[in-house]
Amino acid sequence: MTNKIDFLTRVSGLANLEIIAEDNLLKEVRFSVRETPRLIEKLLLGRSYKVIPEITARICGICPVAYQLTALQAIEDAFGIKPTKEDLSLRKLIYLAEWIYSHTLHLFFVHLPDYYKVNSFLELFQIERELLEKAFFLRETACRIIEKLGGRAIHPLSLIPGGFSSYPDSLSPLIDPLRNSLKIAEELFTKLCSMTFPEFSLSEVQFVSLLDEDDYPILDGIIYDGKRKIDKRSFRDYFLEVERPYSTANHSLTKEGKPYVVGPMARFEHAFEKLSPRAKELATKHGIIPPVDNPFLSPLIRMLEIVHSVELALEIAKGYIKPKKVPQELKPSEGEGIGITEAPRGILWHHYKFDSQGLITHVNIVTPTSQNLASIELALFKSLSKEKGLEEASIRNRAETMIRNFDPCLPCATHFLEISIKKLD
Amino acid sequence: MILGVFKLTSCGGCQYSILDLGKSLLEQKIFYFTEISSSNLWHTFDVAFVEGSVTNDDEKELLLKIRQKAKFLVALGACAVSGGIQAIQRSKKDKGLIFYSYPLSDFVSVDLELRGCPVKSEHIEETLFSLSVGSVPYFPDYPLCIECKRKGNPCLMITHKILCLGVITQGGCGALCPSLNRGCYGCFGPVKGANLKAFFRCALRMGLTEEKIREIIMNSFNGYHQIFRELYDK
Repeated sequence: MTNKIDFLTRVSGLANLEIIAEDNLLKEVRFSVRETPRLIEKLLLGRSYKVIPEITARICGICPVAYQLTALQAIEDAFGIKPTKEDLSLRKLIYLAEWIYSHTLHLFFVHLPDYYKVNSFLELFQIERELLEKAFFLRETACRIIEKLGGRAIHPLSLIPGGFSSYPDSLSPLIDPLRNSLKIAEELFTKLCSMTFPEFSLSEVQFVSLLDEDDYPILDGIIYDGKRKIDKRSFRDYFLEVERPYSTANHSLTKEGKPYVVGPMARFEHAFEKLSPRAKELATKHGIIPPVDNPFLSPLIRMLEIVHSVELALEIAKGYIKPKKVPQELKPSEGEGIGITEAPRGILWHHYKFDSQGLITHVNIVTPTSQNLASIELALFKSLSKEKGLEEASIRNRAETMIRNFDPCLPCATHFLEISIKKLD
Repeated sequence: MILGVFKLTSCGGCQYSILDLGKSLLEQKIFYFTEISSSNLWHTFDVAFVEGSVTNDDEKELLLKIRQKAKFLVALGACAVSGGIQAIQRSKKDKGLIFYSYPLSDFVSVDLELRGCPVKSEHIEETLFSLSVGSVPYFPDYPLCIECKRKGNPCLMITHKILCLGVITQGGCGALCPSLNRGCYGCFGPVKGANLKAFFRCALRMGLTEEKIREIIMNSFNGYHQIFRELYDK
């Protein structure tokens, strides 16, 4: 018996779920992504390195800054330029703002309705108006930061190889909203801690995140899988991509063939000690400390990362002095570059090769969501095995809730496949 | 008003701009918006927003169904208006690929096109407000240059010899790129009556080849807009 749930809702992008059972015994769960591949990698070939940040940003409308910053790191790596400390600090600020934007969007407008058993945040407004107004304020603050630095909140414009095309005169208009946001974020964390979450354990999967000596990982770092430290250049030796015939997205596995999880839970596990002072204090106070292997607790960890991001963003904004410099001159040369950062949903890896003119000869992008898909299927299988009936009505809600714990972004996961697509008449 | 929000092939960025409406969203009756709601109903929509381009038969069918149900259909952003970045794979260099991406207007009549990659949330707000009072929303139909002049920006083409698509691009964004010291890359799509011949002459004088200029237009996220299509046959 195959039971198919079409059009999963409240996930970013299009997907179906197929549940294969024999004699009412669950055999397999297929999370099949239905987004049309947009072949972004393919269309970059032969184009100039200059278009990479703009074009790869369009892989995802929720985390475009992640794509831009990872691409810039790879380009700068290839052409041997180092951004200044001031530029790195501003890049971190715009990236933190994207974490706040993305986490707020997912947590409050997509995920939270599950915990109140309502269909959408619009219905939730009738129950928790004040809470959602606070969430809107956080989202608004994040948008204002990205706009201030990059001209607009989605697909910002100032991030270029070697630095920024332009710097704001002052960041002081951001300071008050950030101070208020910190207070609000702390209140929201406390509020979320008072909710009850289903029990579940996903202890069999590995957490993989970046490690940064001084910071909670975001802009750079070495890959850590709980046992091994892996250089970004060796990513491909440790993690494999496999095709799934039923999905337009690839799945990633460790080289031992095991699913792994990237994102907030992995970062929390490996870098808890490096969270901002307020975030760490709050987490400790409420007993949210590693190890946490229950994906249903992921809203709390996202909320902690929001507190952390707001606190750090406030520090950077307070210390801002407009840099005097102009962007570094960049001379393309034959070579290759790799970029790796922590996108809101986890590790994002870019690899490019260039010819002497700076034209792209090779491109490979591995996204957080494709790395999480195998673990999502495993979690779904474990969760649904406990269900008595396998009818759509009874499992739809449970399955969707589990999927939302991982905050998958399906347009991201689907950008790269090389397949032929039916021709339209 | 009863609203529906739909997504075809795209990055998903435009539809989330609708959330910028904040609390005023509550005044709307959103009947269909799968990315934020688990309760989705097919109904007669006063306004249907469609993000994304058409890349397969399922999407084409879905679009036809939306058109039937929508009193007013809005193409939301560059993918819906022009086919998006994915449509540039028609360019000569990539001809080996079998991939198609079409704007909505290739299949159905579109009542309003909101430009941009992504759309500007103020434009969504303006659309809903105008329609709610029985009026027609108005958006700039002049080139981006006008907005640059209003802001007092020096022309990047003249003063810095930086190629800027502003002269052939529809205004509306507020001249964001030139204000950040970089040339416009055309994400609001071509302005009606864009003088492509003069633009090519100008860019050729700056030392670019015709092929390079075509590629820059392809990369504008609106490369397959009706106005640019003649460039593909060359």
